[in-house]
Amino acid sequence: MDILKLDGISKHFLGLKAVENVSFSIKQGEIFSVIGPNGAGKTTLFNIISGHYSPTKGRKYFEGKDITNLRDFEVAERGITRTFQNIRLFSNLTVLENVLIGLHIKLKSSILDCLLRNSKNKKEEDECYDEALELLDTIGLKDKAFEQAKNLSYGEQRKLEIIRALASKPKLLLLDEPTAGMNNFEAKEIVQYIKELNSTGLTILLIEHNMRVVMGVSNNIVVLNYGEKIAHGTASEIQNNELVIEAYLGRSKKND
Amino acid sequence: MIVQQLVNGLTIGSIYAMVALGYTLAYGILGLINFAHGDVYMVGAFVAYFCITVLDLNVIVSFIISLVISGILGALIEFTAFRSIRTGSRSSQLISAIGVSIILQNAVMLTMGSDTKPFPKVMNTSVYEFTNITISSTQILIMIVALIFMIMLYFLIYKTRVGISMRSTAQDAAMSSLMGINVNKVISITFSIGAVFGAAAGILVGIYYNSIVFNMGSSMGLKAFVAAVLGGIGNIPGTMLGGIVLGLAESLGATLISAKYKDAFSFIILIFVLLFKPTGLFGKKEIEKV
Amino acid sequence: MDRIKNIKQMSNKIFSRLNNNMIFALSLFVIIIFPIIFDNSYILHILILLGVYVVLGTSLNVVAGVMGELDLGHAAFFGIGAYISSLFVMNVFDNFWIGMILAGFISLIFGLLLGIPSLRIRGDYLAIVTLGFNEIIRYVLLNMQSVTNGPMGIKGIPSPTIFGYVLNTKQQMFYLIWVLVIIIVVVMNRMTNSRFGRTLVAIREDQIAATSLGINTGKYEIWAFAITAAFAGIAGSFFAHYMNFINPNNFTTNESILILCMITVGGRGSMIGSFIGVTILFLLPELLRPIADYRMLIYGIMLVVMMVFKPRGFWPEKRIPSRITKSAESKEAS
Repeated sequence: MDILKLDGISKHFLGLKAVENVSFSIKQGEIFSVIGPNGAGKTTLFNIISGHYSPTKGRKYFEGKDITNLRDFEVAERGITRTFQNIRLFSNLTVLENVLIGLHIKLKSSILDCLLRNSKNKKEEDECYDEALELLDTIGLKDKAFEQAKNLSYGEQRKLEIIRALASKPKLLLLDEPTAGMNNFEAKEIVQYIKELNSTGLTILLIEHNMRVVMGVSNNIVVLNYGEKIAHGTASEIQNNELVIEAYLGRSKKND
Repeated sequence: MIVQQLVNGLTIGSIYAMVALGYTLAYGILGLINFAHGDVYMVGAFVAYFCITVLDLNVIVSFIISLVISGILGALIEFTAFRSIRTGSRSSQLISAIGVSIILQNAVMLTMGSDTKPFPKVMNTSVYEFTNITISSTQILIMIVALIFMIMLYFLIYKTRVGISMRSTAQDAAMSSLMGINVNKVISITFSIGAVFGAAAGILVGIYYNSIVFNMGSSMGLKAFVAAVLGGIGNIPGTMLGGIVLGLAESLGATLISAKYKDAFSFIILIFVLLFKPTGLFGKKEIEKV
Repeated sequence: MDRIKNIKQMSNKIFSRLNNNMIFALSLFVIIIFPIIFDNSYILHILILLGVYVVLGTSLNVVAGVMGELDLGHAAFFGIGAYISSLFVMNVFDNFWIGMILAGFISLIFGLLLGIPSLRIRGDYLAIVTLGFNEIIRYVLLNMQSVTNGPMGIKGIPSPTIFGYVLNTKQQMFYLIWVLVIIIVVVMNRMTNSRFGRTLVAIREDQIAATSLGINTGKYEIWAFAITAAFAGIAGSFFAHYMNFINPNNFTTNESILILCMITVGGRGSMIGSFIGVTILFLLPELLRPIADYRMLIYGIMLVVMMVFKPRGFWPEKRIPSRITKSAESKEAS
């Protein structure tokens, strides 16, 4: 079953075609990757899916429902959360609070409940602290729950950002270059973590630059170049695709 | 009637524009609202007043002394109150600026007194009458001086080395510093220029209204700041236009709608403009990158 | 279990509940005992006004501290509350308490209105909108003579009553305002460590990240403005009925800026910081009174010096959730 379906999505900025007529579907439970050279429109596409931008043309469907006109927080409420290419943690807050904010959607206390701190709010707060600590435990950051997020190592920050996005139990997780700026060891750790998440049934959409990461984990891959989809298939299909090699792999090999 | 109001609006608008440039320069280069700027304008007027009445100096000499002293004051304010918290939060900068504003007002009040001073008559005001409008020589003076100052600023910013340094520092201070620009010096100069503009406006207002008082900077500062935001703070031509627009809107609003609410118009206009164009009439649209 | 213990010890050290309760009890004691010992009308007067400013400061802290938007229009709500309450009590129905609630409510509505621009406008521009709002309210108060009596202000505002008993001594007013202070400080304190408070902090830290987590930032921003405004309105109502006289000069933009100065000097975002800042900056001019003419000069110099050497204030925000202690405790017990 398709969890997310893009139908002819385009995004133009003052005549610049950042994304042009891109369509694809993501199946429930798979790891789906979007790759492409710098400036291919990957992050723009991501921002469209997460609702940060609205597309110039085209429609997007989540679990069969049209979500084209939903705003970003509504998209998150439906069950799509994301991480950012340049980590966007609440860096002055504690690690724990970052996760607590991630739990926002799941909590039900109204503003008035919060001001009065009634029994309902009290109970919920106690529960969400425990839940946040448990979540932190799963990535080994429980000991650092009271550190400021900015004091974590780069790898830990990446993990924290992922766990923050996971806190609300999304159905689709968008990861924007999760291994960017990492050494091989850290990258491997993250890839392992992504696989683990996927094994629990979570659908993951991945944007990556690091070819090794993508080829290793993805069920399906879409390649963008100049905002257009130039290929779609499994890792081996993509690796043998002439267009892709020309647009991307050839160049990236040279760079290596 | 309306044409007459246009003339009055243009006059006061030129003053707003000159003071507003001080805000825009400071904002453009440091991203900081220099709330003490209105008081620099006041100091400019008072220094000129002091030179003419107490020291009995020549009028032109007095004006020049006033501009020089204000220029130094501008750099001094930047050095003491803003330099060390340049990267700090906006609110701490704001409060530092307010502190400076309180200091300047009280220093002037303590030395010169809290009463309104008559600004010396420096020129014979003649009034020219056309079919149905009157225009005074002071109004013409104000508009000409404002025009000259703005043209000078334009050449300074766009045609000189200092101007290039200022613009590059405004774009990216760290990078400019790596390119060999003495960023601190450029920022000092920018504040000085802003202060000179404020002081010149202060003198012109003294001549125009014939009276100055120690707290005259508060309301002018606020208005000029509104003008800067209206035009797009940080944007020099936008700010100039913002000042003129504000002056015109105020005098037209006062005649056509209600004189009582003259001062409220500027703020109502401001809020509406910002609602529809959040970065001012001539400001650039900011796109936040994700 | 060990980890939970560690966390517990850690947070115990930093911010223990017991300690919190003790502070609460101690301040209650001081508030009860103080006017009995120092029955001096000047001192009590100063401390009553201090109470008003503590309410103003801690409420402004919601928008300007916790949410991090520069709000230069706080005095407008203070004024709206003062005028609404006085006009209502003097012309419609002579009951201070209803007047106060109405003042809070109308201010809340205006707060919602002022919050709307925050959906589109951010940062410095929003600060100017709030400042403009304050100026507009001031001009309305000055010029709507038939209602507000213009620059002359409103005289003879009745003192508060409880069950027909008029509160008009300084001692009684002292208790009234400081009870209000306690209520508001407790509510605000609860708010900052709740779902709502965290949302506001998230907006301050990174709005885009906050939205990506499903937070409807606009809604919370508007409500933050509304709550801030409501408490200022209540403070205004008290102020009017305490002073028995108000005029538009009590509610200028300068006043708003002064309140912002207070909480910034104390430490924005921090409840205790706001309290300390308000106390210092409010009492400073009084303490400097002996040097009369020079006091504002020195006040200005101190503002600059404080900001240059302590830009984050005397008591910067520390975000250590206190309630973790209890949650860990209950876990241990079970």
